[in-house]
Amino acid sequence: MPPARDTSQPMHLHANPCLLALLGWLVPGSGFFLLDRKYRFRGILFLVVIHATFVAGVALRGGAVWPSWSFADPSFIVNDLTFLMQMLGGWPALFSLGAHFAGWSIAADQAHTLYELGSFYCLVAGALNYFVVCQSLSRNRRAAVERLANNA
Amino acid sequence: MNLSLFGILHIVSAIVLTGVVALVIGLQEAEPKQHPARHVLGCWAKMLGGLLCIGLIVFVLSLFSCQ
Repeated sequence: MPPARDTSQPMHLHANPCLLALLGWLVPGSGFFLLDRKYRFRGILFLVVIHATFVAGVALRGGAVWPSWSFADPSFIVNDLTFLMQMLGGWPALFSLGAHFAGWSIAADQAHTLYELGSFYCLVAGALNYFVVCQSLSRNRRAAVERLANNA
Repeated sequence: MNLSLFGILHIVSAIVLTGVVALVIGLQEAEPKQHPARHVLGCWAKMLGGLLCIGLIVFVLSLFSCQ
């Protein structure tokens, strides 16, 4: 008969940090689903908020646009940094970039009056996802330390 | 697009985006004994206050611009 699990101690999950970071980047908020059950609500909240922010940006005709990567371009710093920050948003940013290359109607419309505002929404979504991934890695590390302390 | 509507949309966007940022950062910073919602609202208020100050400074500086 297998020994009964000690349910008096909370179960601290220790996820692979690389998998946590990759999944957390790809699907915003999903990193928390690999951690303890008590972080699940937080993961759902961040998933909804970040996706909603990016969708709002796309609705305002913003989105990811492949920059020129040229130092001669006067808006080199703004465009390239904006692109990099947007790419931190994971699959929504990749989808938006793909739509831009494919010429779909949902792609960013650089001629639209609200394009810059929409792109800023997408930038904020990407930056928030970066913070959320860092949060999940921090919780994971804390859980590992607590588990080591409990086992000691 | 009407310029007034354009301006209102930007102001509403500033309020909404600071709220979203306050939610993410506030939940991270909130201590276990603190009420997280209250802490997030406090962060939001501070961020909006900071934006208002920056806006006022920019407005005052624009009065001294050479046109």
